[in-house]
Amino acid sequence: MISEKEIAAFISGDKSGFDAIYKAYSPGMYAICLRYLRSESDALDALQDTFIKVFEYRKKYDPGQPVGAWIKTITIRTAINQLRSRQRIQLTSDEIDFNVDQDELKQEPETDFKQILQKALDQLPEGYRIVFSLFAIENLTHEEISDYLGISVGASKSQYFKAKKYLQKLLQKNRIAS
Amino acid sequence: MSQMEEIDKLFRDAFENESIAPPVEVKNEIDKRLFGKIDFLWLIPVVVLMGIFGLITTSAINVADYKTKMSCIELINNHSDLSENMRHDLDGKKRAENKIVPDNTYTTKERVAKVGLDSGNHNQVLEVGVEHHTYKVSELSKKTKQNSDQQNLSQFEVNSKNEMDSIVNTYLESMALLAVQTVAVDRGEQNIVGLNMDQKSHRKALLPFSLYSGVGFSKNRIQIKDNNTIEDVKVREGDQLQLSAEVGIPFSSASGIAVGLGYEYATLHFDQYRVLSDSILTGGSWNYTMDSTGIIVDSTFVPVYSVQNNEKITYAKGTVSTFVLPVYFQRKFRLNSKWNAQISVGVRLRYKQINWNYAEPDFVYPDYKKLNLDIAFRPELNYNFRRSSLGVYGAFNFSPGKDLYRSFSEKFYRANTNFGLVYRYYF
Repeated sequence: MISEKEIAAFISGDKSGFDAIYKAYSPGMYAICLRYLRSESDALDALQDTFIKVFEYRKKYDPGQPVGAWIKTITIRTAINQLRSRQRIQLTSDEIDFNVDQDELKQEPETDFKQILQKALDQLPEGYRIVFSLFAIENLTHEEISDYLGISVGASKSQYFKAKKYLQKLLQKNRIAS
Repeated sequence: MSQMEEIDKLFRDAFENESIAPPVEVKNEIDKRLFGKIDFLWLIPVVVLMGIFGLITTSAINVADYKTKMSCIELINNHSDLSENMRHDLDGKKRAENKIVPDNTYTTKERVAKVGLDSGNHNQVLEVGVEHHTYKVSELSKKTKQNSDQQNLSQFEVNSKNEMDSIVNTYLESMALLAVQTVAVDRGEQNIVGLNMDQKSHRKALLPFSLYSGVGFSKNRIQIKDNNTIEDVKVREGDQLQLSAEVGIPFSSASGIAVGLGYEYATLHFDQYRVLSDSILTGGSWNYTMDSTGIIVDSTFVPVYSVQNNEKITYAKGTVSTFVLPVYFQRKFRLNSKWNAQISVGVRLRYKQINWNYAEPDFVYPDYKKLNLDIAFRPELNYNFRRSSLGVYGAFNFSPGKDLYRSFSEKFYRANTNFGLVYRYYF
């Protein structure tokens, strides 16, 4: 945990305060960057940009709010922006027909439950994966997601439910979801 | 809990608090950018210290080591209608030869005063430019008589070309021959520095004040490569206008440093070129399988695909305002009495302000470094007249550090060229 003293040092621009913030939050933020960008070099770029913004915008941080949540918001926005600039997020059309038999989890006998979930996520179309991750994992609302991605609230909801249906079928096939 | 809600929970529990330690290089890079700032800023104090050292060194020169006495002033007029040759020896003897018609009024055309210098070991002749002047010979006779009552100029020890010019002017004016203005340009005489007159040291150096005005452009480039796509981002600063004022601090008659303040304005284009891998059928060939009798029993079509497709996207446009603080070391080369060349090498500290006028909705604004440093090279060619010069210059500025940040792994450099006119006045 970060102490109030370290947060105060960080806000004042002290390097030791920033170092403490980086040490505490960079692993979690790096995982978020990897989740959305799926490329190690892109994730490192996003992580670097994130913490530079964190330092430069430190005066805008409200000490009454959890610092982790504030950094997480910057991280997600940075990663999403990078994704948009590099790949242009393509929403999956509603007409797509899922064939779970074909899309069965392509895996070796897997014992790590988390890896199974990760592989299931990786098999989602890009738009589904991002919207589902933002809603289910990052706990954002559809309004927030629509703002982040520049899409309508309806499109966000649609992508999310399609993603969940797809995941449900995929996981049932592997007897993970009941 | 429904199945659908259970899926959310499954993923949230698995990934919400996931953490992976990033490589230590990322922190080093962040520290470098946030706390390292400009790597080359240390050059500025070095250059300034060099300038101060040069000034101190120049000031400390014992001008007595460079004593030079004026031995004569010779006025020559090669005008075709008149013949005038006037020589004043300053060692007490005076000799004048005038073959001009009394009471005539005439205007000199091309006139120089040649000043003989006797520095002990060798003699020199220095030319001093003289402006056009109209006078009457009757006045000349009167003034010449007055001059005979004045002190003998040969008693002065003249160590400064500038001062010598002044003495020549005074002398010639006192004779009412001319109202002389010297052309304060460097004569290349290394031993004429400082002033020692009447045993008082009045160091007086030529301080050039320069105005630069020109146009130019800058090119920045970022290239990102992965397996399928080559992104080539070009950041172009075009239509660049440049204004700069500089003051020179001479080390000697041929070298010195210059410091100043400049302003540059340019349009900014952020273009991205993508070479996309694509599969478009462009042709093919047939392979045939034959049996032992030569009859075709099977055939296969081998398609040929083109695999590249170019795409250009203009992501954003804007304007760039830059304030520049240049520090140059300068070396001057005299070509002849009217022309000289000058080379300036130094550093430019830039403060940049960007205003975006247009951007694509998904454009990610790059993180520009506001303060940066250029290595600068600027040759120029100047024409001298009176105390001024007018010339042309070209400049090449290269920024060895990153000018903008967009990515951890990207390489980025800025190169700028410009050219224009320079006016210089010597105080």
